[in-house]
Amino acid sequence: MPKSIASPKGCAQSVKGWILDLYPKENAMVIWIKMEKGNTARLVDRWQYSIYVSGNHSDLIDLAKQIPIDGVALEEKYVRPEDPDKSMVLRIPVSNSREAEELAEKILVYGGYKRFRLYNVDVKPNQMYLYEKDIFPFAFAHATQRPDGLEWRLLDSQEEVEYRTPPLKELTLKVKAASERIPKFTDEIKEIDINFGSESIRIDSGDELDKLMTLVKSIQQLDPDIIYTPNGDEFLFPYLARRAIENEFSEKLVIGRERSPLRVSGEKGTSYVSYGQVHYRPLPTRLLGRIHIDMVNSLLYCDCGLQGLIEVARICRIPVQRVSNTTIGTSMTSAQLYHAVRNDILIPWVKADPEDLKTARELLIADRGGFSHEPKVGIHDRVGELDFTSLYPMLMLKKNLSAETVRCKCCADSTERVPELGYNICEKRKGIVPRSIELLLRKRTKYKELIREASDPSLRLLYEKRRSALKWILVCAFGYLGFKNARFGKIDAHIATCAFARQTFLKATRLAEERGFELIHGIVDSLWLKKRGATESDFIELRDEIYRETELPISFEGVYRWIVFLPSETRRNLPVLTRYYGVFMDGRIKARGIATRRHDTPEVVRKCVEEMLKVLAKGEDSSDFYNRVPESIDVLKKYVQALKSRRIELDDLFIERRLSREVYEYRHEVLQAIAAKQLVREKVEVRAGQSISFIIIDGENRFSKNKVLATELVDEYTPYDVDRYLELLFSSAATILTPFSYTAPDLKRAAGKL
Amino acid sequence: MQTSLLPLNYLRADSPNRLEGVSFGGEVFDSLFGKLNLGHLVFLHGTQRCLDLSELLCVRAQLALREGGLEPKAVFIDGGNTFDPCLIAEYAEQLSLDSDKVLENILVSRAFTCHQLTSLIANNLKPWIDRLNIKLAAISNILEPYCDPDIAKKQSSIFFKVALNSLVNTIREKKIVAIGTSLDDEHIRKNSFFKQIAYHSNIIAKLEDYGDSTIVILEKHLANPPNILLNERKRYVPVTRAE
Repeated sequence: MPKSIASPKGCAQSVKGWILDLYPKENAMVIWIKMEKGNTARLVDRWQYSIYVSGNHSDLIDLAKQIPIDGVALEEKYVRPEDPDKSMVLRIPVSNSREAEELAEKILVYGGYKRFRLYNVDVKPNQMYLYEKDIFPFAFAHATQRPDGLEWRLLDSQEEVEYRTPPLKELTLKVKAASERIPKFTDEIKEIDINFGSESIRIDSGDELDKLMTLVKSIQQLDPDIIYTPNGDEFLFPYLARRAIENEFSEKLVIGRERSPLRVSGEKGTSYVSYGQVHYRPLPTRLLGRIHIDMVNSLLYCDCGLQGLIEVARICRIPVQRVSNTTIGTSMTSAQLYHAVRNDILIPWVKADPEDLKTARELLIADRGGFSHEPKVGIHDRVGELDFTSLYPMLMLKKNLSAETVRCKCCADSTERVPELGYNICEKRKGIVPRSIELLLRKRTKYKELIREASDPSLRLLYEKRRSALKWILVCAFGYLGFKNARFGKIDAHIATCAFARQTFLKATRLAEERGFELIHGIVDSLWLKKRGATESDFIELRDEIYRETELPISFEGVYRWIVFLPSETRRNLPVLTRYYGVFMDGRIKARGIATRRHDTPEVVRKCVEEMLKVLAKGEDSSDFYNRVPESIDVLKKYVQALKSRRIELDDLFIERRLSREVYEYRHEVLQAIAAKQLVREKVEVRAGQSISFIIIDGENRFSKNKVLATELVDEYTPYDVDRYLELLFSSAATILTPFSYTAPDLKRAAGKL
Repeated sequence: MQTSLLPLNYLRADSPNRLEGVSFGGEVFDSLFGKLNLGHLVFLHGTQRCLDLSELLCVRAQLALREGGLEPKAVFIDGGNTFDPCLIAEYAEQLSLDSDKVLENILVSRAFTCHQLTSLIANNLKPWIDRLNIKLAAISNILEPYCDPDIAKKQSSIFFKVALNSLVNTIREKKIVAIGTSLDDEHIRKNSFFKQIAYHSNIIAKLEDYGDSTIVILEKHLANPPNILLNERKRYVPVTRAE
């Protein structure tokens, strides 16, 4: 049973441990603490969060009279981060997020959408609690119950890189439906598997109600801190909840630590666009007091594991469960919100400040993105690669680039100017964006050092996961400067960052050319350089000089034995900036933009191209490379044979593509749309942004529905279209051999000679 | 076309007696729209060509009065991040204008949310007109930000009303020409925003692409020129954007 210090009577009680989870409940915050001995404590802190309203003073007074809520008061806050002084605003305490949004909407209407501006409306209460109390998830802390609420004392620091994590009880939950093919909510539960360390429990006896009851009992007995599920957000938990309704057990289906049952929301997940691609995020299932991690849908978990999630939760002050099921941008934003709250800056509900007015000529100069230098198509010997480390976030930090600092009103005569554009940069205050990324950059550097020093492979892996998670946040930090919904982003700051990056790149190029290097290729923050007779130490000396001159960290990735820059598939005379492959002196292969890196490449093609690259990688230089091309074509022939004789496993033929629109919006019968329609016919819910996996069964069939088969419908008897897969194989192989005058038909002919 | 058949407020761009306004130039447009008078709202919808035409108008506004221009500066409120300065320079060269000067005379601000677009139209436009002597305002993708699924429908519809009312008042009060554009999209056409802007517009035209040419369909013209039939389709070959 958890220890509770919810209702102190007389003397103060205290608890020491890690902050596991927290959520609002009835004008209070419930916090779950994981203690050193492994037990948990449930703390309740009487706390209410508030929304704020700005406007004309008399309007605010008038508004205050209209709101029958205790605690409404005038307070001084910074309405905008660039404001020199605080303004008088109205603080309105609210009970929950829904009440906050409803009230905010009413206030807007009351003010005719002009008189009032709303703040702190859609900040999650648990995050606001963390900001206000200056604590963070998975922090080791000491909580003492005082008459006026909990008093927190941190025994931990966000700065720490070798922090302890609590002894967590983790289990994996899997549920199998009694369906023949695609499981549906209407199917009865067949069995439930619980894997708990080395132990496992299979619940497969009794009727469905018995199974649900056993599940709830098992969860209560095992009392896990983390529940991992495969597809828990999209299917497993909604399915369990629906089955509970069918069995009139829904009020007793308690999976979290709080005694509230698991609910099925009528809402659907969301499709959203990120960097031009449509993505889909199912509605998350949140467990109270435990952490649910959907192993399939949590991108950060897939890439960085639990340690990555914890690192992000600690540094961005956002609960682990939310980190696992939200976008990286949301986590990164949380770090910014913390700095805003700590500095009495209000968080706008809607972002209404537009771009500063500029002339079309100014826009032409300003809106140019990063620098790029087109590569020379073909193979190059002994090229060295230098990469700036976190160039954009570093510039944002060092140059103080933030929405409120670029073209600020207070420093018109600032000596800090944006190159090419001459925009002034604030000299009086540090921006929220630089403040929020400073710690991330510092920690990332520390992890890099620890990885280099660590002799224990498991420790190295742990640091790598944490460093990788921070990298994701930093990558996102730049993009968010120009993102429409970024609270503290502004396109002018985005433009300024690009201008500084171009300046830095040109400076580095000039330094390299002064030392006799030739720029073979350059893109945004990476340079590929060549110099006759240059050794590794020549590159390292150049790197050091660039670092001295720019004061920005830059790494030497290595010298390539050879590197191939590839042309466009449609215009053979045009190079593609991000399509190349090469092998470093130590044998490492680096490839970008080819089949091995594409998400929609079937395994059979990926394996073939990888094997071809391995053969080519044995080449010491370009002439040796040429000698090995026939051997690499032999690899291709091997795969062609395997396909023709149908010796390829079906698993290696699946193609995964994302739906860029809703199924009914497709006008052309593209393969992923055909497969999606098959799933819809099977009563599977399919949304824009979801990835659809399929196999090509008869690409030339006159009826589009017979061209492919969704993976979920594939069985051992499913045939596949050999010719179509051969086409994919030839075209992917031809891509890497294009500069050497091999086309897909050439390779097809070569393979035909077998 | 017989000029004498036209009403007083519908005059050809090259007419010596025309009222102050701006024209698109070219036979197709002049015969369809005539001069776009100060105080009028023009709404173009359909393909990407709408956006191109709104940029063309920003350039033509800088022509001398006798050449169908307005001479002062133009403002381009970009609701879809579509503004293309290269196309502006190309139009300027076609009209034998100094492209650098033209680029200096067109002021741009981009809005990425409906709140920003509303703020630009309702709060910024009028002061800009007063301060910068602006006679033409182009607002690209004027409907799209309000159809953002991330914004509650009720909220976006109120913000749209605020923006549209403010725009219409500004046009009338400050005597400017405003051109709003929107790409045709099933969701947008079904939306009430389309009807609202159509109601307030003096001229509405739809643009459809057919290969290398574009068809202009005049859907509304308050001046109602007698020899122009509404829904008449006229074809032209547009200047294309650089790849």
